[in-house]
Order: sequence, then C-alpha cells, then structure tokens
Amino acid sequence: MAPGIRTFPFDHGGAANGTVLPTGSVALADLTAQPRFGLKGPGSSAWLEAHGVALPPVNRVAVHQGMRVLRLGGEDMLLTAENAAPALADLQGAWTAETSAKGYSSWREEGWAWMRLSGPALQPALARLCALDLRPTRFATDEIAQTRFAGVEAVLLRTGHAFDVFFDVTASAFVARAVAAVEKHCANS
Amino acid sequence: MNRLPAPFGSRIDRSRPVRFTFEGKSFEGFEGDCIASALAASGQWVLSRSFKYHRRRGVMSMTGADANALVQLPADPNAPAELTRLREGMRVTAQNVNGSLEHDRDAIIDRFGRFLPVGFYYRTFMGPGSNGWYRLWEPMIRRKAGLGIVDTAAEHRDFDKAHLHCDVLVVGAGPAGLAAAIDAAEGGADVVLCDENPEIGGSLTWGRHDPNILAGLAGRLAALSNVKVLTDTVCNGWYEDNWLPLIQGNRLYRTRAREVVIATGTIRQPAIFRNNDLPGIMLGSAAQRLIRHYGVRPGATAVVQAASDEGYAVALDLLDAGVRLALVADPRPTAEAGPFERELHERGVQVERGAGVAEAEGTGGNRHLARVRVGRSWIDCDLLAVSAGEVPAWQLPCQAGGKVGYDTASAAMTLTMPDAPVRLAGGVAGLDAPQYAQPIVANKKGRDFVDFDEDLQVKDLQNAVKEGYREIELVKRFTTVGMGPSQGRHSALATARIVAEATSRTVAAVGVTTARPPVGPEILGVLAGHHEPPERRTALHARHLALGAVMKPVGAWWRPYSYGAGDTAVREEILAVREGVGLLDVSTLGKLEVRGPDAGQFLDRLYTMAHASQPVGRVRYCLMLNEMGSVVDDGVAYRLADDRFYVTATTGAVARVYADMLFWNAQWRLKVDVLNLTGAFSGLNVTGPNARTVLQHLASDIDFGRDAFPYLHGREGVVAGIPVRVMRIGFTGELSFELHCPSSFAPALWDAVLVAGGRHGLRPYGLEASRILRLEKGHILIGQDTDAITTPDELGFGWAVSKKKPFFVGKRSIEMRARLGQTRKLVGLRFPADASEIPGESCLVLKDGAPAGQITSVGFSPTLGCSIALAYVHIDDAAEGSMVTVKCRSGQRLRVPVAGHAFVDPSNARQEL
Amino acid sequence: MKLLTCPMNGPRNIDEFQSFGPVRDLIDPDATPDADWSRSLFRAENRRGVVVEWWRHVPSNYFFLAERDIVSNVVLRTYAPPARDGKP
Repeated sequence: MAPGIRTFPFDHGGAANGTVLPTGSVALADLTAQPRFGLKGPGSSAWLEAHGVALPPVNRVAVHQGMRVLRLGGEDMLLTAENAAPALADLQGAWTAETSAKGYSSWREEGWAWMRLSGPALQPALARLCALDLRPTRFATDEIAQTRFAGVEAVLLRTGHAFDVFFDVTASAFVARAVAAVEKHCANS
Repeated sequence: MNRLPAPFGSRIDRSRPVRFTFEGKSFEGFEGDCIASALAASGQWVLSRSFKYHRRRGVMSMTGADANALVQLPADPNAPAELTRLREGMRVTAQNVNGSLEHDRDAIIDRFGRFLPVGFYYRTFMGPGSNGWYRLWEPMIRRKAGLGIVDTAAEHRDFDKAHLHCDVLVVGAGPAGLAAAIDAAEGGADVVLCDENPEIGGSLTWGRHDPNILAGLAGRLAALSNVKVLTDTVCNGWYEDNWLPLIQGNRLYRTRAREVVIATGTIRQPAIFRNNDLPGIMLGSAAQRLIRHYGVRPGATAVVQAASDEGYAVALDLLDAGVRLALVADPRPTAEAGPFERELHERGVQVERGAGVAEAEGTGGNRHLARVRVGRSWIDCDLLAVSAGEVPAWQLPCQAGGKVGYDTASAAMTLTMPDAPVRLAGGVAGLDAPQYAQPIVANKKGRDFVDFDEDLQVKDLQNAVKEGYREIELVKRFTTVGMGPSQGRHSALATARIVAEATSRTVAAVGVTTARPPVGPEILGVLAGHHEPPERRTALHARHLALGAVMKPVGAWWRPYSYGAGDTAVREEILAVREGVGLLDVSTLGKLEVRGPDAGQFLDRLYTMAHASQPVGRVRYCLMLNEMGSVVDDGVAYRLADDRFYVTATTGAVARVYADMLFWNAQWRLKVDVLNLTGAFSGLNVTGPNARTVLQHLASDIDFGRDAFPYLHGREGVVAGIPVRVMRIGFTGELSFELHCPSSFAPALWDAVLVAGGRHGLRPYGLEASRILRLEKGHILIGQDTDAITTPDELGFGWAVSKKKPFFVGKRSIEMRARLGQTRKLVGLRFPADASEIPGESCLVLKDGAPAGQITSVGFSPTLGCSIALAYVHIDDAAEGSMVTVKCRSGQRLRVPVAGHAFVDPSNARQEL
Repeated sequence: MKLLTCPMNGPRNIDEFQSFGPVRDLIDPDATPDADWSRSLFRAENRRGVVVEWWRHVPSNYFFLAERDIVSNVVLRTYAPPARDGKP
C-alpha cells in the first residue's frame, strides 16, 4: 500500500484536522499512522502460533520480535509495531501470501485510532475518562481493559507510565476534545 | 457585635474581614464565616419567611438541613446560609418573601391560617369551570410556591466529574468515622474519609469535649498515607453495589467502595410547643456550633430545655460564652444526673425538673423570641436552646437497606442493617443515652410546628389521621410532611409519635417514610457536568468543509446536507445526478464483514434472500426481519469469496444489526466471525448517466464496461492506486458505482474522482438531494418508511423473500401473518403541481373517513416538477391509479392518485445503463 | 450503579453491558402451532425466581450467561455459554 496517499484524522485534510491535541499536564499523542495488524475469527490464533507467535491470555500483552501482541479475545489479536515495523511487515506478508486457513484481517489499522495518553496528571485524567480503577497498584503494565473511555468504546493498555488507547477512528476529534476538557480539570484538582 | 474571643471561633480568621450585603444592607463577617454566622454576629437573626404562613424564621440547627435558613444568591437559589462560606462582595437576599424580608405582604396569611387547612391543595383547586386549574390556580401557585429564583442568564460554571475507588469509604469524620478510618487504614486498606464540614472531627469540634481526643485522632490519621480525606464533601446517596456520589463543591466523585462505613451521627430534634419557630429558638447543638465554630454569642439571656445530659453541656457552654442563664428546664420527671448536670449544679444554676417549655412569645411581629412559659411562669429571654433528644441519621443507611425501628423502653429510634457491605459506626448505629419522649399535645391556638419547612402543626397531622390517612406514607402525601428540604430530619420522629398516638399503634409500627437519594439538595450542574454529545466524522469531513458543505448531525455523525446553502443548491445537485454525474459520501453506511466457513449459511438464516448460493463477485439485496416478521433493516451483501461477505446496513441500525448478528451466533454457534467495518471503510457513490465515463478516466485494473461489470456485481481491485471494493448498486435510480476503500485512503480517492469527474460536470451532493433522489425512484428508508409491524408484503418486497429456504429469522411469522390477510401497502402518491397544500410526514391516509395509513416520506421532485410521497394506503386502494384521501395538517382533505412503485424510470433502464 | 461480572473482562459497571433477555428454547418453527408460536414471541414468563439471561459486554462484544434472581436482583453467577451443535 502506497503510504503517500493515506490521510489520518489529525493529518492536514484529515477529519480531525484543526483539533488541538493536549500537551500539558495531560498529553495525548496520535499514533494512528503507526503500523499494526490484527487478525480475528476462526483460524487466527492457530495461524499466529504456527508462525511462532506465543499468544498471551485474553486481555494481556506478549512481546514477539519487538512487536506487542494484544489478545482481545479467543480469536482476536492485535499486533502493534512502533519500533518493529520490518518484523510486522514480514509477518503481514506471510499472512497475505498464505493460501490455507489463516483467520481474517480485523482492519484495526483503519478502524481504530491509536493514541497515547501520558503526563504528570495521567491518573487524575484517567479517573475522569474511565470508570475503571486504573491506579498502578490495581492495573499493571501490559494489562488490557476493554471498556469505555471518554464515552467511547475503547481498548486501554498500560505501557509503563502511559496508556495506549484504541478506539473508533471516526471519534478521533471527539476524544481529543474530551481529553482536553479533562486536562483543564486535572490542572486545578 | 456578638463575637466571642478565641479560642471560640475555630473556623474564622478575625484578621480577614469579609464584606457582603443581605437584603441590600451592608454587613461584615470574617473569612471562614458562613452567611448565617456572619449575620448572627451582627444581630441579624431573621433569614427567611416560612413557606406557607410567611413567619419570620432564622437559625435553628446550623446544619443547613431545613428551609428556614435557605437564602438566594445571585446565581444560586436555595443556598443554605448555615453552610455557605462567606465571600467578599456576596449579595444575599431572602427567599419566599412578597416584598422584602422585613415587609412581606404575605405575612397576613399567618393570621388567616385557618383558611389553609391541611391538604387544601387537594380540595381547593377543583373549579371554577373546566380549565380552572390552568387559568387561575396554576399561575397563582407558581407565584406563591417554590423558594428561590433560578437565574437563567447565570454565568456558565465548570463542573467536574471523576471516578474514585477505595477498599473502605467512611462517611462522616466525627469520632466514630475517624476511628473507623484509622482502623481500616492501619489494617492496610485503601480508605476514603469524607465529611460535609470544612474540617474533620464532627461533634468533637463543636460539642463540650476534651480537645485532646480530636488531637489524638487527627495525629494518628495524619500518619497514614492510605487515607484520602475529603472535607466539604457530601455523600449524597447510596446505590447498588456500593456506588456513592461524593459531591465536593462543583466536583462529583462517583465512588465505588468495597465496603462502606456510615458514621453520619445523629440529628438533634426540636421540641414542639406553641411558637416553637421564633428566631432565637434553636437546637442546643446549633448554639454550640455558633459558639465554637464561629465565636458567635447566640443570645444575652437564655433558657435551656434539657431533656438529656447534653442539654446541660449546652448550658455550661452558654455560661462559658458569657450568656446569662435564666433557667434550665428539664422535662424529665426522673433521670439520674449526668456529669454535665452535676457540673452545672456546682455552678449554682437554677434547674427545674419535670418542667418543659410550654409556649413562647415573640417581640412585635414575632421578630425574635421575647419570653417562654415554663409551667405557669413566663421567663424573659432572647435565646431558647433546646436539647430534646436525637435520632440516628437514617437517610443514607436506609438507602443501603437499613431498617428504622423504635425501642419503646429507651424511646429511641433505632437502625438495623441487613447483611450488606455497609456498616454503621457511632451514633447512627445506636444512641448513647435513653431518650425522653415528651408527650405531644396540640396547642389550641396552633403554631406548634412539627415540620418547619412545610409549616405543619400538630393538629394538621392529627387531622390527616381523622381524614382516614393512617399509614405514614399517606399522611406524608396528604400533608406534605417531610417533603421539604429537611426531608423529615426534624419531623419524622415527631410525626411517627403523633400518628402512633392518633391510631393507637406503636411508633415502630408506624415507622418513617422511605428514604431515597439524594440525601440532600444538589446543584443540577453537578449532575449535568461537562458534557458534549458523542460525535463521529467520516474520513472526508475536511473535504466537505472545504467545499462549503452545510453540515448536519445525523445521529452521532456529521453529514453534508448540501454543498452551499438553500433550495437552489439541492435542486442543482439533484439535476446533476439525473443529467450528469454526482458524488455522495456514503461512509456512514453500516459495513460488516461476515467471514468463515459458515458465512453463507449464517446470512441465509439472518436475511430473507438466498446467500449461500450467491456466486462470488455478485451483490444481492438483503432484507432483515425480526422474529415477529417485521422489516428491521436492509442493505446489500457482496460475496468477496466463498467464506467472505461484505454486508451493508443502514446508518442508524448497524450497531443493533451487528449486536444481533453476534447474539444469534452466540446461540447458533456457526463457524463465522462478524467484523464491524463501519469506521474502517469509507464509501463513495458515483452516480448518474456519466458515472461509468468518470470511472473509466481513472487508472484501474477493474473493467467498468457495461458487460464486464453488470448491475448487482462487485469487483475488488485498485482505482487511482487505491485498494477498493466496488459494487454496482445505487439508491438514486441512475447508473451507480459504489466505491469502498480503507478509510485512510478515502480523501485521496475522493480527490481522484473529483478530478476525473471535473470535465463531466461531476458534482458532490448532500443528504437532502439523496433523500429526494431515492424518493423519486421509490426506494424506501428503513425506519422512515417502515414501522414496527411492516411486513415485506406491505412494501411489495415479495420478490426479496426466499420461498425455498427452510428457515430465516421471521419466516414463520410472515407466513402466519400472510394467512391473517394484508391490510395496507406502501405506495407512491403524486400531488398535482397546483395543490394548495402538501401533507407532511405522518399525515393520515383515509379510507371511508377512517385512518387506513399515513404519509411516510414527502418531498418536492424537481425532476417531475411536483411533490411526491410514499404512504401506506388501504390494500384495496393500492393499485396504480386508485384515488385516496389524504388529510393535511390544516384539516384539508386531498384526493390523490396512487402512482407506481417508482416515479422515475420504473423500467429500471437508467440504473442498468 | 450495579456491577456485573463478565467472564472475560471481570466486574464492570452495568452500563458497559447490554441485556438480551432470558434464554429461550429455540423451538422448531415448523412443528409449532400458530398459537404456541405467538405465545413464544409475545408472552414473557416473568416468573419469580432465578432466570438465566443473555448479556453482552459491549466494548469487547463478548456474550455470556448470567443467573439472576429477578426478585432480589442479585446475580448469582455468570459464565461462558456452552458449545452447541450449530442447529437453529
């Protein structure tokens, strides 16, 4: 796929163009253009395992050749590759070339925005954006929560001192505004 | 000034004066004062007028629990003066006055109270005439009723909502709550401790206690890092599974606690006698709060009514505050002297045993207390401090399943909790001392108030029982007792006693009314909070804006209504599609991918047509019924491969269709996976006689030729370097190609089509043009042209229902309904170009004067030059050319001819071009 | 707000879930008389006691079963649906 002709929501001409991402005590970074690849449906886990990917339990993360492997269901996996794009491309290439049962693409690179929430007020911000108890003592690194975030269905993942959030790409501007509104409250809480 | 020196006044900072006005008059208080304490310090005891009789009222409890002390702030009605912190420049006015607090024209009502008997609402407002309520009573009551005034132009305030989680939530930071929080935290629990006061300590901060007790508890608390202390925070309810709202100013904490300890203490009760509402009569605890929290001397000469040892502590506090004690009256005939009583004896104060206050009198206009009668003697005083006993604060525990009882031996209201993760601690769990239940006898001249909010006297409650309302819930509804801001805090026990006496039952048998959230009043902004409705944008949002689209919300989506404003734009867009070529963003369409070895079989069960036998590369209409046989959705299914279908659903229904698909398969367990691609894929519909020509200008591996790509076929390929799924389908009736691509490519694809279409007059069109185009072609919109009982036959969709399949959802029911006979059908109606009125959607279609159907869609067709509609008509009138009667909004009836199923191109020559 | 424990995602506020009602026997439409078919569509049992209900955890689209006492509104247990043979 030619990269030059893709437009993501926060790009110039994208659907969320003009919406400002908060960068203060709460920061929201857009990773939507970063490579990722998801498989879902019958045959997905078998194919990945046959290609050497050790799958974590549901709602946990494993690492494979520098890629994060998020298990979202029995037959629902998402691989992200911020710093392992070649490994992801290899795997994706093998999958495309496969002619027998291999599961089905979940199109997460198109359907989901990928954002990273961080900053000194991360915890107060999370307390305003999500009903779950996401304090470090209760929700550890590499745990996944499939829940609601800023009023939108989302997958949350703690990555050390930040949270990765995956959600419906068409709600990108809405979520960015919701986080910006929360940042204001965190600043004076 | 009635100010006392330090250490009295723990909350105020005497070095920081605060100026404010009350009823237009200037006052000064200190930082840390509440409105009521600052006014009391300046000798202003009257805060409001009572609800019904407009009597002067002032400080009674200093807890903000009753209507007496509600005041108006510019942007806040019903602000509790006893709790609201004083701010520089605050403008405070009195509520519920007609005129001013001092000169209230409605004060006359106090003298004619007998014309407003209890329950008068239910008898008085019946006439005159049929509209008496709307013409006369309702406007009058609007003026008289209610307390504060809402300023609809008030400045927008920012409200905050956060979630809070803990192992143990302790509500109330008095001695019991502090001990519970410290215990739990020392045991390793993660604790939240909340209290509505600005400091921890509860009664330890205002009662006659050794200061070392609080200092000790505060020291232990401070050493614990796992306790979050929230002061100025009200726990305003208990909801299932320990979910509690904690309100701190403009912030709401939605709190989930594993366990809850309620340590909300007790509520001191007023005594009942004639004129017990005069300013200057207050609870003993209120006098103590004024003294210790605010350094306000509550009077010069006091009578203390002490029905418990706590009353003696009040007397001692008053002495310490320099108040002259005229008398301590203890209504209990016999009771062992407690430690405070003994201490008071040592200080040589006169105590009268077995004597209670029987009556009070005020100064002129009942401005303030002047004297009280104890037995036969009148005693001059300007303060009556009443310690008549207490009840557990039952509101919050009862929401969590607690039950109120009554122990006759100790005359005490009791609370028991079921086996719930909620526990009680301290006074709320059980009163320390036996209570004294002074017999309640109605004063012949009345004004012996039981409920101060609602101005209810003893006889009002007795009369309610005489009317036949014996149950406490009915007494409440008839009299409104307990319905005011105090919610029975000061009246529930007395009401139970009065009703018990009047019905010869026990107080326990009478009980109290149900306690529901919220525990106290709350600002609506806290409930609303920061809120923006969810919003979705297609990948082409910025493209539409750049082209000057008028965007409209459609559900959560933003869609272009038209490019450029006005009817002309819509008309030009329609004509462009009919005569040239148009481009529509259809990205909001629901898009599902159904895949797996059983995909065909799965669709066969869900939709009415045959999909298992559908060839790869073919597109088929799909119609979904519910189990009742009613049409719930439609779309198309494009078979991408043996095991993969790309299925569309209507924009508004896709979330439900997707969920239903998953639900059915949770039961069927077919080997199939459903993926919702609505956001992942975008769709562009290129439609019009020139559509093929435009696409043939684009670099593509797809042959768009008429024979190579027939109607209802689908192709995967690359257009302008972009991976696409193309379907030859359309909604407009014209030659149409629908190009779907991964959303990140959609702007590039849009640009490529616009460029290619430029020389062929391609024009983007919006939702309104689309609506008219489909109406001209007679295409239905599910939900607009269908209702909860629409069958495929009523739509004339018999062709879309497989007769061969053994099963699909709804099959059994449409067969059964077919046997019941069809009564209506959806048809087209064509209105004369010169019709004086065009009926709107939902206007009735009549058959022999009775409703037989209704208009479902209507619009002006520029193609035909007249208005057209889709409508349900009686089955006997459904044939083309029949005349039907439509009732317009004005009542005018039109005779209209039934048209065929399509107004434009009924032979489908154009779409199969 | 009530909590419901999703077998896959753990305890969550009930507003993360969608109820799909009590489990019904999937009756054979061809072998069922009209009156019984209507009854199965329109008459809810609504009997006091414990019912088994379908629930969906919306963010993860996970369907499961819950046993709920409809008098006390206590959910006794939740569990993954058992495998079926794939017949309608």
